[in-house]
Amino acid sequence: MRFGRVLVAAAIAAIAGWTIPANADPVALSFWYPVDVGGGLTKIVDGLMADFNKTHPGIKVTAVYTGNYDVTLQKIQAGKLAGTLPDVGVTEISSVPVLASLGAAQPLDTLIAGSGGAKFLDKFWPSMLLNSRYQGKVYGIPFQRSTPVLYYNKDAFKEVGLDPNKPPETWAEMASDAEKLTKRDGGRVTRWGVELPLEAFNWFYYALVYQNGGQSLSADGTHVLWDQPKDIGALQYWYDLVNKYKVTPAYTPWNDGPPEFVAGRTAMIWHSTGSQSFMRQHVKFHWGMGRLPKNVQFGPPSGGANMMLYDTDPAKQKAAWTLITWLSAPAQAARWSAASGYLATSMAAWNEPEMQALVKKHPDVLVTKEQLKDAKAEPASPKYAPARDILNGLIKAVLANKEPLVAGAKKATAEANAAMAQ
Amino acid sequence: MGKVALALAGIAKAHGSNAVVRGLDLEIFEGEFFVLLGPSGCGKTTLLRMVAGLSDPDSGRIALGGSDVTSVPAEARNIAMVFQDYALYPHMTVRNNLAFGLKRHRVPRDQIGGRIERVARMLAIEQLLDRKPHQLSGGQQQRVALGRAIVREPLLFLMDEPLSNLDAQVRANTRAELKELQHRLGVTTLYVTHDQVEAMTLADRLAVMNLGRLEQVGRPLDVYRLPATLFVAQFLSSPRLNLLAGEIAGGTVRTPVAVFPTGGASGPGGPVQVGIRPEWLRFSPDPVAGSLPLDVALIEPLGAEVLVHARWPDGELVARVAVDGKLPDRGKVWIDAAASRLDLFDADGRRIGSTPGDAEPSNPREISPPLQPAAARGA
Amino acid sequence: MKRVVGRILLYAAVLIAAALVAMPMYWLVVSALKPSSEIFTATPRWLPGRIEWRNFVNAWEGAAFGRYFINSVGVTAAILFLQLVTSSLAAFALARRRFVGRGFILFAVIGALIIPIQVTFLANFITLQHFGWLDSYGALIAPFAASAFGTFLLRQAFLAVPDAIEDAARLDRCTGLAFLWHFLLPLARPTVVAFVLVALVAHWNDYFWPLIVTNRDQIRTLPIGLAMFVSQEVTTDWNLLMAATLFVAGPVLIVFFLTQRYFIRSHVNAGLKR
Ligand SMILES: Nc1ncnc2c1ncn2[C@@H]1O[C@H](COP(=O)(O)OP(=O)(O)O)[C@@H](O)[C@H]1O
Ligand SMILES: [Mg+2]
Repeated sequence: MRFGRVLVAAAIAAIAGWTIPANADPVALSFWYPVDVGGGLTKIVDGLMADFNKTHPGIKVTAVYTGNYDVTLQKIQAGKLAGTLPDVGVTEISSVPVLASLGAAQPLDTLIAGSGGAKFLDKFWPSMLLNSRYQGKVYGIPFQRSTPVLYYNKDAFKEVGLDPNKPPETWAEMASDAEKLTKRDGGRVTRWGVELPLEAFNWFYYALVYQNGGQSLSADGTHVLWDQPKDIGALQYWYDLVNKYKVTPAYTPWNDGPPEFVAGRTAMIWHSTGSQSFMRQHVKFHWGMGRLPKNVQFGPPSGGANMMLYDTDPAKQKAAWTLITWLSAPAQAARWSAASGYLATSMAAWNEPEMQALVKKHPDVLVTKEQLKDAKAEPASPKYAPARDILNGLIKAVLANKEPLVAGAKKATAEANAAMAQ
Repeated sequence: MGKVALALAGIAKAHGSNAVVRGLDLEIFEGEFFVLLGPSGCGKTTLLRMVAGLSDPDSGRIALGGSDVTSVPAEARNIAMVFQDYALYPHMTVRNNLAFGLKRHRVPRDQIGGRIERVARMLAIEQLLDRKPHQLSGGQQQRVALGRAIVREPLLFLMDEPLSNLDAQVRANTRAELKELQHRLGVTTLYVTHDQVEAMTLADRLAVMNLGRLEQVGRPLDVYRLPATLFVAQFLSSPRLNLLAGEIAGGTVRTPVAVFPTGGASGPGGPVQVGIRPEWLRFSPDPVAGSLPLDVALIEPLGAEVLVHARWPDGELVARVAVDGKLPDRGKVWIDAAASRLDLFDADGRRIGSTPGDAEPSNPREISPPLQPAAARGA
Repeated sequence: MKRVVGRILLYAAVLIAAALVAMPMYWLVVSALKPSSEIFTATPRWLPGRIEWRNFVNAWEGAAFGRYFINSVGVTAAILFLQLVTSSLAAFALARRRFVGRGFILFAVIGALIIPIQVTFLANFITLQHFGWLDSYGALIAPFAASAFGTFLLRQAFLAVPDAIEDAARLDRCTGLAFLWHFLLPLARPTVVAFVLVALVAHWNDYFWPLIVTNRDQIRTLPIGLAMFVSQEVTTDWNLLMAATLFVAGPVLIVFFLTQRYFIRSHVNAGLKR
């Protein structure tokens, strides 16, 4: 009788296509990552995942390389429409409101509560959580994070009579140091004083606005503030570096920056903390790192990418959350940071052996840690993407003297606000 | 003659509202070289394309070798065509141009080579077999086009003004060769041209086409001598037919320049259109009764012949005169009415009859006015 | 004398043009052979001080290039084959047949020509999802099985073939697809070759679409491997990037090299023909 019941139950289970819970296959998870750094780092991600799978027999993660930040975002947006989302995805931090408002990324507050609530979040550098929330809920957990620093050529400083252990701390100092450092051969510049390379995310514009005490996006994320006095002042300073002091070129492509510094074609450069390992490998003179200068305040912007969770099924959510917490735990965060040059996301990670070794070898890494306490959010809102491109065009046009600064900023502001209102 | 190779019955075709071929009947016999002669735009190409099957008639039937092929597609009719601009295959050598149709007709491979050799020898293009069309002169291309048709050994050759793109000397040579070749091969040929010399020299029989209809069908000399319509007379005259308004009265034909004897061939009285071929117009250096004096305006030597243009107050007449004949001086001439031969047409341009004149054709029976019907009758 | 000067000027101009074209190629190869310490120097170094073959090993190991290479060859070949088939059939109909709606279809083809992939990619993506083809070779190939560009290009070329040739071919019993095969395609050969080369480069280099529709390394293609060497935030290893670029660009360059003779000849022929 009892045997019969079991048989019936088994038959029903089989017909319904259920799998028997005991001895079940591990939960399969996909982890999408846009590492954006050479083949070597995909190996490190693969290594992390292999270790995770080894230590978590109930879960099997597959890591999927998804190209650069923009393609990764598009892939996830398409995945939302087609129902092919990953379980966990790493995307550029300003995508939090985009993917949260789309209903793709899932809020993590309940899961966080289960992992210690505020205590869990407090482990991260506070500035790294600035781009994690949307409408009061937490969506993003820091993973590969960066912030820009000032790299400077100590030999060049010495050569022009500057203190090689004192990089500029203010806008005024940076301008005057750069004037001294700029070398000309006739009309041709053979060494720039400083370079501020430009990439699609307009990092250094936000840096300058923050340093000038301003904001570039309204608090509710609905409109840009580029025509406000502090924003105008920030762009004016950049404009003056190019056109008044003539110490920086009007445009440096992002990837050209570090090679220019290495080749001695610029004495100072603003660039990502992620470029440290490149500098260490290639620079043949004495060099150092400093914080980005301040005007009314220090204001380095945040950069890099957060992990977000896309599952709605509780069992999968649980497994995915296990992966997220494991990756952000100090041991893994330190391992990832030491290998990639991204910032260690938690304070505790700095105490891990990998990070200790790194600090011992390269003490100026501490500058990046120091700077984190001042870091500011990256402007983000669900409809910010067109504004980002308009701003990029504005910066290029103004610095190249193709557009008047104030009028151009007003026009671009109106244009961006119209695009974001759609 | 023999069996009918091609029969057209009531063929009509319009391009939009433009009726290009208007109810046309024609029979062509086996082995015959038949020429369709007509001015540019009269519908010759349109007709030929329907025979080939490249376009469909709006109405009428087409029969090949006794069987109706009206709805048989072109590729199944076993007809070969020489196009006006040759339409050689530019990407193939001459040899492949010739071989292609044979391969497509599933001629056994071992026969293809021999057939090409034979035709190439016949047309003296053996040296050209490995060239591409763009490496050939116009005359050579023309031969290859001809060869491509011949090698197929089709039921019927269609040729659409195949000589019109050649220069005069090459054209004359090729014309003669073509005729000889066709007789040798004995393949029924429908040849289209606007050139009366080509038509006269090549044709076993010809048809003169005008505005989508056949004006007259017959042997070249018959059509030449006895044009059934004013149009035919005009089209076969060179440089042009002398046309006068006339009136038949009492055994004479009265025109503004001269009074001609009818020579017994009397029709009903009344107004007629008088056509005088340049070669059948005779001038006299001495005054002739009933004829106005004419001013010699221009003398054009053609070689063996001379064109004499003579003017009277209301017009000009042209005569073709043999050089060894009497050459009029510049000055006055009179029409030799008795020696000139006239063709008489009614108001609709239909032939009424001819006056005998000096140039009386050899067969007197033909002079009596047998009004040729415009439609084909066979021979 | 004047002619000699003209010649010299001509050769000088040709040499300069050739150098401008060859320059990036040379730099690519040289950089791929340099040790990383020689990549960034104050003055450019025209020859590697030491040839670093390990760059190729390191680059090769940086991504699954062997697998990617096989996939790229297969996917690109399948796309080119399908595009040639569909484009020539469509172009045949549009250029040489009259039918109701032809004008509209032609208009649609020209419309499709100017629509960028960013507009269609979502619709294609969702369609593939419905077919269950995402993350398979089908997803890499199917969306490119037809080409508006190829259709339009071939239509223009087919239009240029005189009607009389088609009539003559018909009387030789060559109609329909046989006419396409024996006449239109050979006569349009310069266009076909140009189209194949353009499509080859476009699909061989395509990065965006394969990245969007695939998740598995086993079916991914070379440009994805190459992209792994380009960084956005952190600085690129140029010598490895150059070595990887050679893996990706090399095969296409070889194809160009092998076909260039023929490519040039077909252009010369086209000039003589008309
Ligand atoms: N495809 C066509 N569409 C419209 N009109 C045509 C077409 N082909 C020929 N025609 C017209 O039909 C008439 C006869 O043309 P065609 O048969 O080529 O004359 P031919 O060969 O005697 O010179 C001309 O008026 C020509 O303009
Ligand atoms: Mg014609």
